[in-house]
This record gives sequence, C-alpha cells and structure tokens, in this order.
Amino acid sequence: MDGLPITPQPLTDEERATYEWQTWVSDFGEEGQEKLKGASVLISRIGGLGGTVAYQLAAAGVGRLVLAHAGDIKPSDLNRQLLMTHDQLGKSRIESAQRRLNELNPRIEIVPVAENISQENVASLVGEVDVVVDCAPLFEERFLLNREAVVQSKPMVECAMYELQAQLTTIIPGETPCLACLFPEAPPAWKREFPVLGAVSGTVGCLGAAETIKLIAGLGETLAGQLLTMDLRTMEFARRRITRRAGCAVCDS
Amino acid sequence: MNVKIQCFAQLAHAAGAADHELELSEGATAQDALRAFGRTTTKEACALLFTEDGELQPTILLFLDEEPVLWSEPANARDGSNLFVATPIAGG
Repeated sequence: MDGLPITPQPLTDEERATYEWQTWVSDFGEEGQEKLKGASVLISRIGGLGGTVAYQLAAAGVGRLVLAHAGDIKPSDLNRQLLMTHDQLGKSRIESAQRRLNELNPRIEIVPVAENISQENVASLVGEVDVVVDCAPLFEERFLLNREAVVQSKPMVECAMYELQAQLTTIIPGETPCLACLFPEAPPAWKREFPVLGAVSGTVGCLGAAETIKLIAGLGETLAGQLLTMDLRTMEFARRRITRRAGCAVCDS
Repeated sequence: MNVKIQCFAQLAHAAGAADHELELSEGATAQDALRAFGRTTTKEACALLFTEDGELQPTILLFLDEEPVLWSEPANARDGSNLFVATPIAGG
C-alpha cells in the first residue's frame, strides 16, 4: 500500500533513539517515521476514544496533532478520558489534553482548538491536515466532518463504540463508502451520553491510531471499504465488506 | 426456515440480547426477517428499527450472510442465514 503524499521530515538523533523500537517494524523503518513526523492529523473530540487516538499518535511521533474539543472536565469523563485528570475537574478539556500530550512527547506540535466541529470551523480544520479521525459523540458533527473530508479528499478514520462493542472503518473519498453511504440520515434515537467501558474506548482508540499510522506510512492493509466490528463481551471480531450507496447525497452527488 | 438475527451494540442493548432466532416462510427477505423480529422484540428496539409509519429506518446497517444489504433493496434469506443488524453509534 502507498502511503499518503506527505513530505518526510528528517529525524534528529534524539528522535531516532525515541522511536527506535517502531523503526524496527517491517515495511515501516526510518522512512515511515519520517512520514509520521511530516504528517498532521485532526482528531474530532479527544474524549475516551479520541483521547486514546491522540495519545497513541503523540507517542508514535505524528508531527502535528490538531485537537478539537470544547468544554470543561466533568467527573463522568474520568472513567475513560485518559487525557483528563481529577486535579483538572472543572477546567478546560483541551488544555488538560495539551498538557498531557506535551508531557508524553514534547517533540511534536499540538494545536488545541477549544471548539467542537461546526459549520463555521470544519473547512479550515480539515484543510490544514492530512488525515481526519472522527471520534465525536454527535452525528451533526460526524456528518459535517464526513462531508468536508469528502469535499477536500482527505481520508477519514471513522471510530465508534457503545457499551462493550465498537466499530471502525477507513473512508477514502471517491473510493470507499463515506459515512453518509452507511447512514444516510441522522439516527432517530441517539443520545450523547451512553453506556461504555473505558477499556472499550481505549481498544477502539488504539485501533484507530494504528489505522491512521498505516494510512500515513503506507503500512499493511487498512480498513478501506471494510467495517470492523468488535464485541468485547464475547471477544468476537468481524470484518465485513461495505459498499458505496448509489445516489449518496455526499459522495455521489 | 430458520434465520438468526444478530443485533449489534445499541440495538442489542435495546433488544435485551444480541442473538435471536426466527422461523420464517421460504422466500422471506432480510427485510421480512426484520419486520418479524419487530413483532417479538422490545419497544426500544423497534424505535431503532422502524419509523413512526412502521417502515424500516434508513439508518440501519444490514449484512445478510456477511454481505451488505440496503434496507431499501429486498434480499432473499435462506435456511440458516445470519442477519447482522447495526444502528449508528458514535464516540464519546
């Protein structure tokens, strides 16, 4: 698989030492690491799911992370939102996330945006990155991000979860189904708050991060055109082919 | 014929269980199976599967024997078929 058209950035000796174990990965090497350093990724919401994506991408050395998430930390965030801490309750989520990620990896650039994805900011946020990762709880935001990723031909890693189940796919505009192909309308009974274990958001977040790294570096096979579902209650994982919807209002109009 | 309904995530939660079995007439479609399932499952699951007019929700994701099926295009089931049904879920 070819990676994304990203200009590789040379590594310093200190970075070579930091990322040594992953540069030993077959088909990744220093070339893959240089592509990660040259890459930028937008993560829509950095809660339980997106926060894990951000943590893994920061540790892996993705050069620039644009994080969009509004609001302040609540007690009910703390079962899963690993970038948020008890001592920051009532304070800005995005500032807590930035601090934690900078502590983890001071070599990378964190761009904190204290807003959720909206009609007003979506074009500029998508426009400044190579890959988009969708982790938002509200379908209004997910559909906005999907539409803009299709318009700007940016790949989007699509992550979702509920209770002990989760799903993941990678959207390549013009090649694979987009989110509106799968779900042409907003769901009638979705609520922003739902049951979930932190271990589930962590699992799918790690998988979303792995998918993003693979896309950037051209490593292995992605979930383009496939839906991965997982049930951590039974530990059943399945991968199913998904197809574009003729007449899709977003990607076939 | 016997058809297995496999509910995923939010739908499994609403239906009280992930796995269900139905006895259907020969020639039944995936959509027929869902309508039959609607007659046996909970109100909460029905709210996810059907519109107020009783039509299938466009937002449901169907796989019949692992192959994708559009809610609007009837697909024939067979004895032993597995119908995987998911409703939209998100992050948080």
